[in-house]
Amino acid sequence: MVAKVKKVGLPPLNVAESLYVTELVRGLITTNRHFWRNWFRRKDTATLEYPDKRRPYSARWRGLHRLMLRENGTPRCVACMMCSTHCPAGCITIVAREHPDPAIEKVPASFEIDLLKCIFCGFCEEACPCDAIRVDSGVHAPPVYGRDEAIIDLEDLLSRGSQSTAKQGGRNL
Amino acid sequence: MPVVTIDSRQVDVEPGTTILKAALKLGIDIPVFCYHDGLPVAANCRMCLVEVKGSPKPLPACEVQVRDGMEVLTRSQVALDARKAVLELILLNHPVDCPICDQAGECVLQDHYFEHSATPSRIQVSKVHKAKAVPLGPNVMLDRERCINCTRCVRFCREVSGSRQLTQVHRGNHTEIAVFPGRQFDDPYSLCAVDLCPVGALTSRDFRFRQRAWSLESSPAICPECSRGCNVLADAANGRLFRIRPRNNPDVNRWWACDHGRLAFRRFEERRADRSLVDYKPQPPTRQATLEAADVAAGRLQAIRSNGGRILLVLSSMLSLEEGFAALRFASSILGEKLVLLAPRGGGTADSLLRTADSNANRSGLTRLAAALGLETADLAGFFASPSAAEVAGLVSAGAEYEVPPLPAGARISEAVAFSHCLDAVADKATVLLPIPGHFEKDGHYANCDGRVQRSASAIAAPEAAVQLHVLLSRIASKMSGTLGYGDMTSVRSAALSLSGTGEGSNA
Repeated sequence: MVAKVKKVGLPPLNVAESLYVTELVRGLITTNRHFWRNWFRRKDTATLEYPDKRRPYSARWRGLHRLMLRENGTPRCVACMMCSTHCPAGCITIVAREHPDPAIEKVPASFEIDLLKCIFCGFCEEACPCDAIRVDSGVHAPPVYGRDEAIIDLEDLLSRGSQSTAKQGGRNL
Repeated sequence: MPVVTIDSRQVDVEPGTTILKAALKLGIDIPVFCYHDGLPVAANCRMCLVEVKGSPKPLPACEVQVRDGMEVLTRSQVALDARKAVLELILLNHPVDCPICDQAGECVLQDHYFEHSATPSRIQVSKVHKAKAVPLGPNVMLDRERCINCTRCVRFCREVSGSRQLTQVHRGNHTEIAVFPGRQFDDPYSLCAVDLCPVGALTSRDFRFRQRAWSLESSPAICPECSRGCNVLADAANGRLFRIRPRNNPDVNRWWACDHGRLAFRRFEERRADRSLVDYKPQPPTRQATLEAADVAAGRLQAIRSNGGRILLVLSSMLSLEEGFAALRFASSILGEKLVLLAPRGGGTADSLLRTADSNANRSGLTRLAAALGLETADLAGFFASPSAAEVAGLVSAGAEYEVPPLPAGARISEAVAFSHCLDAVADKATVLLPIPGHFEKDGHYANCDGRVQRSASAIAAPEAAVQLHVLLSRIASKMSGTLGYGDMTSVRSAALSLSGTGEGSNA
């Protein structure tokens, strides 16, 4: 389909506008108004002094991943690989190992997320059957000097973890 | 012949056919847990219940034989309700720990649940808990909670492998699969019980937690561990092999494969030759470096030949027919030899079910191929012990994993060019080592102990430096101002197969 192009000419200038100086002065007035208002009445300013002051984030805002903990402080993750299976970016690499307690049976030996690949879609959180991985830490992905530094490991993920209120194992144990 | 009506379609079957088999003839699938083509019928899971007109109760399709004029409904409300109730019963104490279960993704219980029930459990009391992660034997792990007591594994040990190592103990909710006290499940075919298990009760200790089932891609391959040539599926993910499973071939291995053959694939990862070696010095791991090393080998072989030295081909019995054809053609037309040394692998032990004493994948095929090309064959060890061995000035070894006999007295062997996938004893002796694809990295044909020629597909990619044997040999041949007279793999394959004769019953 060919797009219709509507040509719009410039509106004709009136006498005051065509004098140039009047419009220049009007512009300076606006600039000065904002300048002095920001100087004395800072409550109204739209901008924040970012690193020192921050706008509150929505609880649904998706930031750096974290792994939740059981009551005894061990990871809730059972290395089922649902998150890495569903990850559209393929940024999660999990290696599983045997847990000495047969009731837990499977835990991650390593859990790595490549933040350069991650698109922060939150599918990992939705896929997780154990409420183990979450993206609600509220922390931005940090800038890095090298690609290797952008891979976060199990220790880093657990450092942001906290206890989940969800019951491990579900109903009817 | 009885005529039976299944889901208002008529089928004419042999007397004594079960409803399940008759339905299969019509393409109607009846869900099962305990039934398996290779095992005697137990009819204990009741998943295959179907409605039979005139019968007061639904009947198990796996066991009931058809009568003339029988009318069967496999998807009537009665049958569907019966199956749903059976599933509810089976799932009463099932832990539903699919996230940590290795069977998830290929679990029959998952499949049937989604197709026939898909309703939450109504049980209000606690489930009966049993032992998890019980090592039943060297290769098999048992999870007693997940077991649905179909007794496939018990029947396998009783009827197929004959070891009778598994049994059921206790009753009702507390029924468990167990081995006799003080014994372990060390059946040489124990991993077949893992395949048979429709749920995740029996899992392979080797494959345990290594990869989820849905991330694996299966390729139809041939097991190289003995001359039986069992049809297998090679499951790989991310360029690595993770497990070997039997593939049903009624004429060769049926549904089975031995534990030895399934677990031996890891040796292809260990000591992998991923780069060429010239005078024991590693070259860059690239295809170009391998081709350059081949040129070095060609120059040295040419030097020996121009001095009138004798160069012999040593052919491993593990190679495919295609590789064997290229190597034998090289021996006859470039090396100008009538004699080829066959180097079989040792260490095979036969058993009563599948495994043969010959641990070579392709001995019969390569022997037949050499004869078809008009070449004489001799055993490597026997030849080295004979006085004529002292005349040999150079060796070209194709393939690996054979034992290197002590060098003959007064040997003047100055060059040994080896084409190999692994850094074994053969590679240690080689002055030039050229990497070739390993067994699961190449497409090739193998003749088993019965002369049956079977195709093995590649499951994973070879390392970059590995170059196919026929490519390397034709390059060396052209450097030695000769030609092998074949083009690409297609022509090598058709020549190899027509010479070795894809005999009766071959699935080439």
